[in-house]
Amino acid sequence: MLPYLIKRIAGLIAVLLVMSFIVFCLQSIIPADPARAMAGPTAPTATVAAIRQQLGLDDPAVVQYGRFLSRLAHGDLGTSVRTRQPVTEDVLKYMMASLELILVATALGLALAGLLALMQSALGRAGIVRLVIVGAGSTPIFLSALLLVYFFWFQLGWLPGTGRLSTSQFSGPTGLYLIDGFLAGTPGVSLDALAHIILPALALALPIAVAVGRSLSGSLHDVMRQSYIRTGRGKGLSEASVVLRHGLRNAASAPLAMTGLQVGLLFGNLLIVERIFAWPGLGLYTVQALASADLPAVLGVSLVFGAFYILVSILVEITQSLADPRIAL
Amino acid sequence: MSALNAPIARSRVDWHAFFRRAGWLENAGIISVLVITLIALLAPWLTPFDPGLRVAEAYLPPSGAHWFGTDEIGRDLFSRIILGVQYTWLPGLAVIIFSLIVGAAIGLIAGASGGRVDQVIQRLIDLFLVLPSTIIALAVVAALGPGLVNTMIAIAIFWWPVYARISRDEIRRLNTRPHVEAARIAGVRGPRLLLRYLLPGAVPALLVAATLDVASIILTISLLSFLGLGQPAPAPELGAMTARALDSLTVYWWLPILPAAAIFLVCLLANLAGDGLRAALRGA
Repeated sequence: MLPYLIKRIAGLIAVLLVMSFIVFCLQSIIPADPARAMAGPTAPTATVAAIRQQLGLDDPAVVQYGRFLSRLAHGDLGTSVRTRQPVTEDVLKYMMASLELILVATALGLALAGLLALMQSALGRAGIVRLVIVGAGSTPIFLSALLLVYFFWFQLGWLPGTGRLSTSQFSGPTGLYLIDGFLAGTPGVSLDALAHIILPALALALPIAVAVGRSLSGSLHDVMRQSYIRTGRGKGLSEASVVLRHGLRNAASAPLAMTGLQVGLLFGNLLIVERIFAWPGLGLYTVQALASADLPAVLGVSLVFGAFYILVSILVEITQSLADPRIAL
Repeated sequence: MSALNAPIARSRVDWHAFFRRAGWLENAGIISVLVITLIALLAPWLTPFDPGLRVAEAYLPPSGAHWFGTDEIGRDLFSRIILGVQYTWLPGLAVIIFSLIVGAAIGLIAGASGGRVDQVIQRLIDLFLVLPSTIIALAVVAALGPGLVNTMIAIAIFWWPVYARISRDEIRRLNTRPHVEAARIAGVRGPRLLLRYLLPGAVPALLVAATLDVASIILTISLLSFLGLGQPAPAPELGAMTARALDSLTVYWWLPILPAAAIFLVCLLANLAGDGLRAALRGA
């Protein structure tokens, strides 16, 4: 298993390198001359040239890329034009809010996916379930998010529709408010955070639920017709044990890969959901950076998202080979 | 698929059987897609009011005179959405067609030449397929500057590999088929072999994949448009219309909801058409 994993992880790191190269190229598209911008419009040409030299802008592209990589390795993502803070600091500030949202959305998505697969095996593949799946696959994320806000917050008033908490005076040790409330001895805060997270997490969970549910229902359908399932039933195992231990475990690989893919593709949706629900995370930060043409922030966050995507892919690889040892061969 | 695979047989498509194989819902989808394309092409002549001008009071709710109500400066929302379909549907088709041509060509080269060329192209395709495309597309548009053309470029960069993979696999499969062997023995080679004997066989699979992808591309374009990366303000892009009206959701719900609902409808019809086409071609 280990050599296989090392090979996969090396491949994923190569992907990250390619991403950093793309970001490096995009950075140099900016038409404005950074040295001129630093020196000011009236500075003499000699000063600008000196600053160019100091910044290393005269070096060959390969050297500049090397320097860019070494700065990345030290956690330096540049400085945001909008907040005038290092992008790394901004990212650390907003990261946990997004992480909490992603975790809850993924859990919710997987639960709904299981429900969908169950419905499909009970009701068959035709008709209403299929229409629901096609319909969900055609819904722009901002439509589902807006409808959730409109009905459950504005019309019914069941759940809050903006922000993470009702109060703004709270900060916890982990940054995950669902846990922090309990840690700080104020479980009310955790419940408040739970109420706030349901709608945005649901909006993010729907595309995951549909994609994973489809894949799960397909592979479960195939697995349940295998002879070892018949053997299991024949030797008197309970139906729950047959489905969960023998069926689900063997059917898990494709849906797991789909989960990884969906979590990786979540970022576009994350930006929109955080914008609509005023969720103070990386997505909202990126939306604001986009609105003010804050390229260093956008590119920095892209790299962070890319790294997260790689991390999720690695986790999926490991889970897959745990669920199905044949994959490691 | 034999009827569509055989390039020599001058296959006549049996349209009657074609529509019978797809369900009624999918047929409705296929016909609607043609209708949407017509609407998109003729949009400027179909709008009941001038979509760029103030034609009534601001914030009128949907009514008989203004089906979808009016926006913050009194423009007719229905007219703007009709034009928005043009701004959404035609770029979607353009991205698909461009990616399809580039992807099919690269896949054809890889599949037909084999060996080292095939290896290199395959690795390149792999690389593009594992990159997180939405994030990079976002970064690309942010760096190039907002605009519909830049959005289309950014999406197309990440879409052709899908078709290159399909086309390459189909060509490899076809390469050993008797009619290709026969053509080769008969001395057919070069572009004629590629275009006349190999490419037509890959068309059905490519067409089905592309039809099913139209909705995803439109959703991606709308997502970038929502984020303000499409055409600047007066342009009636559906995603941007929703984004600009976000704050009026609780007071004037039609302003953000209806443009988004239009995207939903267009994508739903495209998806049904894709399913229908797949069912029809699989049975052929």
